[in-house]
Amino acid sequence: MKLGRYALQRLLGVIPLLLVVSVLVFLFIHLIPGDPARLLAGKDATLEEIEGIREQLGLNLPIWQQYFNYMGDLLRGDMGQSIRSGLPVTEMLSSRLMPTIWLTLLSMVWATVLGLTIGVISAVYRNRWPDYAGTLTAISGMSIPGFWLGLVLIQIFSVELGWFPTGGVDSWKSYILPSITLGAGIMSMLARYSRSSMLETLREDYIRTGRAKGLREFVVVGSHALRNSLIQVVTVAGLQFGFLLGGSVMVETVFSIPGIGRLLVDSILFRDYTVIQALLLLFATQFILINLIVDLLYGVINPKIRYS
Amino acid sequence: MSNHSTAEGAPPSVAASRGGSGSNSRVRAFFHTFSRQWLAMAAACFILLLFIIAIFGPMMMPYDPQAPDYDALMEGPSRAHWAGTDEYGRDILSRLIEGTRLTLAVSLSAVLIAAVLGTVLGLLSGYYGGWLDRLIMRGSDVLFSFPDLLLAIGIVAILGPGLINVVIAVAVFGTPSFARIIRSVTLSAKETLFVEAARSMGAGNGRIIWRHIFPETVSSIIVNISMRIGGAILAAASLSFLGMGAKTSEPDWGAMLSMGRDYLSIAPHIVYFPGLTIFLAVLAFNLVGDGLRDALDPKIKP
Amino acid sequence: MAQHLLEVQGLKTEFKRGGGRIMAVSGVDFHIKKGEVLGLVGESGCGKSVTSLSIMRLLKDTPGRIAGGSVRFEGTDLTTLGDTEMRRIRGNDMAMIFQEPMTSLNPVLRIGKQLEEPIRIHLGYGRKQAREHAIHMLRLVGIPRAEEVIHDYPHQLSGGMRQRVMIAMAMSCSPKLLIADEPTTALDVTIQAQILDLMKRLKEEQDMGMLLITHDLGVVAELCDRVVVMYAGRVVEEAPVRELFADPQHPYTKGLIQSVPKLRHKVRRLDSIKGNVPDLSQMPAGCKFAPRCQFAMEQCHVQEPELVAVNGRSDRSSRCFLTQEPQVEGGGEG
Repeated sequence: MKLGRYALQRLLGVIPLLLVVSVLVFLFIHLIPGDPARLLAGKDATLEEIEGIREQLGLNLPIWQQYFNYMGDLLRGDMGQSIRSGLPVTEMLSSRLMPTIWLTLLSMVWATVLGLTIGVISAVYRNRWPDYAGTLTAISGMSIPGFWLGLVLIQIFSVELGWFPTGGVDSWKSYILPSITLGAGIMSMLARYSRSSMLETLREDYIRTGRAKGLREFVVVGSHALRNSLIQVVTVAGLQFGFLLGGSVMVETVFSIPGIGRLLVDSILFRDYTVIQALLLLFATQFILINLIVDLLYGVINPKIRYS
Repeated sequence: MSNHSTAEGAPPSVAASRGGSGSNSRVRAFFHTFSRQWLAMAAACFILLLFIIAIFGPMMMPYDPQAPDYDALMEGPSRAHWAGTDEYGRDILSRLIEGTRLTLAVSLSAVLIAAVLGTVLGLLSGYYGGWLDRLIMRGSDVLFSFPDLLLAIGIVAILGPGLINVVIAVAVFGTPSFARIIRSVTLSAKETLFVEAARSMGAGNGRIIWRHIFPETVSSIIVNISMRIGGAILAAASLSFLGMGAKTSEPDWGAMLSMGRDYLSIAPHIVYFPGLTIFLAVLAFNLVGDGLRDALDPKIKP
Repeated sequence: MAQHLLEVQGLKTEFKRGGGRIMAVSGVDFHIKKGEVLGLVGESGCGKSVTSLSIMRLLKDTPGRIAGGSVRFEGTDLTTLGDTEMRRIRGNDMAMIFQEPMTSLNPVLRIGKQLEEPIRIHLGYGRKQAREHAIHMLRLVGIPRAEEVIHDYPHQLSGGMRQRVMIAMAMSCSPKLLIADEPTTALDVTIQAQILDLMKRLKEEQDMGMLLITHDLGVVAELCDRVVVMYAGRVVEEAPVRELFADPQHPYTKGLIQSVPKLRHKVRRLDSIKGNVPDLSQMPAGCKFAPRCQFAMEQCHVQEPELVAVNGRSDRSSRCFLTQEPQVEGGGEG
């Protein structure tokens, strides 16, 4: 069955990619100008401490051996220690992963639903007022600075109205404003994309056939057109999931959410290289995995691939 | 892919009757389409306003943007200070005006650098093909696979904070998009008859690229530039907000917001006004970019 | 005179292009009797497809709209009907099949589902009944293993099979009129022959009226009872099929027939009509065919001829000054 072969191809394609990523991330420390040992020991380290680190981390070994050690450690779940706090990086990551995941999921859900709705309505009522309203909303969503939107929402709904907390992750309420902020950009992009995808689909011949059969316009759009359009849009939406990380950095900063986005910013500002390295690996891997899942999903929902 | 709204149903020769040949009627057709979109026109006027402010800024500022006024700390909008004052008593409106020049300079230079780099890479990649093409495309794929902001943060992390590095970072993550678009235009232009003709007359590669292929890419370049300025402004502001861009003494809009954050509950106007300005500027550029795209080159998807 | 199945009078359809309007169909008249096959012939861009789309009112999502005239189907003027009423007729009493079988079926829905849609809507069948009827229709159009094809997706079928499915879909509610827009043009020659045979058989079995749109005179000769020739959005000749081939009146028709190479004649160059179809936004004054006509007289460039009966007959007409000439006083019955 074609799907099996398709899936296998995709899976196999991912492996070399992951390897390349691991090499690049590994080399990260060595690419930064300066002596890796000094970088890892921290700014105030003494010469002895630097040499100590060099011994401890095996930085005087040949590079390829270092790489093997690195991979070995990784597979055992050891990502080193934070330069800043001394805590094991793996621990730091796992404690902060969940808030980011919740935030991202919630944002995706509402952004997809609203974005698709706006896009489809805009397409169906093309060049009339719902279209203008929808397009304007979408472009505004793309233009608004995320950090500003977040702050404005905080000011109105937290400070003035007191409906939601201003930050932190104490309850489910804490996720509402941040996810609105994070989702705005995605919603806009999806609205525009689904609009243009729908417009294209509506011009296809089989839509005319559907009307020629006497189907109601609602069925033609909702069943025939939408299903075709969705196939493309879902793919794009899925890919956006990976990009949400960029936005989560901003949102987590504004709303003081202890997620991995903020961890990245903090560790960059404080030159905590081990954490940065681990985060890079995490981001790249999840991005690749998400692409893989989206690819597979596409294979399942597109009948041309599912049925030879 | 057959398309019932343009195929047999519509008279085929009609399309040829519009626009005619030659660039003169293309320009006219462009203005005709563009001016029909009143929203884009309104946005264009706003951008014009921004440029005027950037150029004549110093003459328009009611106050010295650097001068603190300890008697008027964090005052809300009033007749004396239309946008209020910040935590040092500086007039926000004047700072916004001064910041216009900074914002435009940073975003325009970043996008222009990306345009130049990307165009060169795209032309080379599309024209010569082969390993050069593969190399350039692989490189841009790698850059493309990172979320914009993360890439920018990463670059600034390596280079250090400061506006120059922000420009570099934004230029770097903007280059792949130009490279891709220009490459695809180059590929299709390469196959056209007049390139064949020029080559058969012995024109060298450089001449062909410069005189025949490059002009075809101009409209795509313009469209893409206009579409990316908005994003550049946002990226630069975001970086400044995170503390990686402008120093807080500089009147960068993003930095102003970052400072104002601490006083959100007592003096929200410090946050509202700079943010509103960023929003309107980006909105205007995006609307104009959209309008330009519809009028010049509808093939680029949003 | 009894009511015709389809009566088109003065149909005008315009297209919006770049701020202006183009008249793709300018005043077309013809009729189809019950059980009769009318061929609508002409080159690309003459307006024949637009005419058929106008009849079915399928101009949504195109820049076209009906600008005048009437289309009477069994007495009711379709141009005045609301959406709901029009929908009841489409796919039901009046059905249409299109030129491109490859893209006319929805790629993400199974054949069965697409077939059953009109059946359930118009005939009101339940699911099981609809499925049986769909399989029956597939068998009727000669598709082998119909029970399996029902579950297939369009891309799993060949072009010829897809066109058969389209025909099955169109015929599933026993329409009184079938409009076929170049049904065989996109198919292989051998498949073409099969589809034509199928259509002939169906027409005889169902006593169905057909509007067959084509540029292929061979198809016309095989299937049609009468023929209408269109040029530049106008009817230029109308005749029963045999007479059209035996004694064409309009120079355009003559040119078309001459361009078809005949098997027994060896020729060095194929005949063709010189010149091109005019740009609809820049139509010449007078007769629209005059610039390409070898018989053109001065009058032709100035004044547009009316569509007049040939030899006084009601079933033959031609839009040419040459046809009108032999109308000497007292010629022919009214």
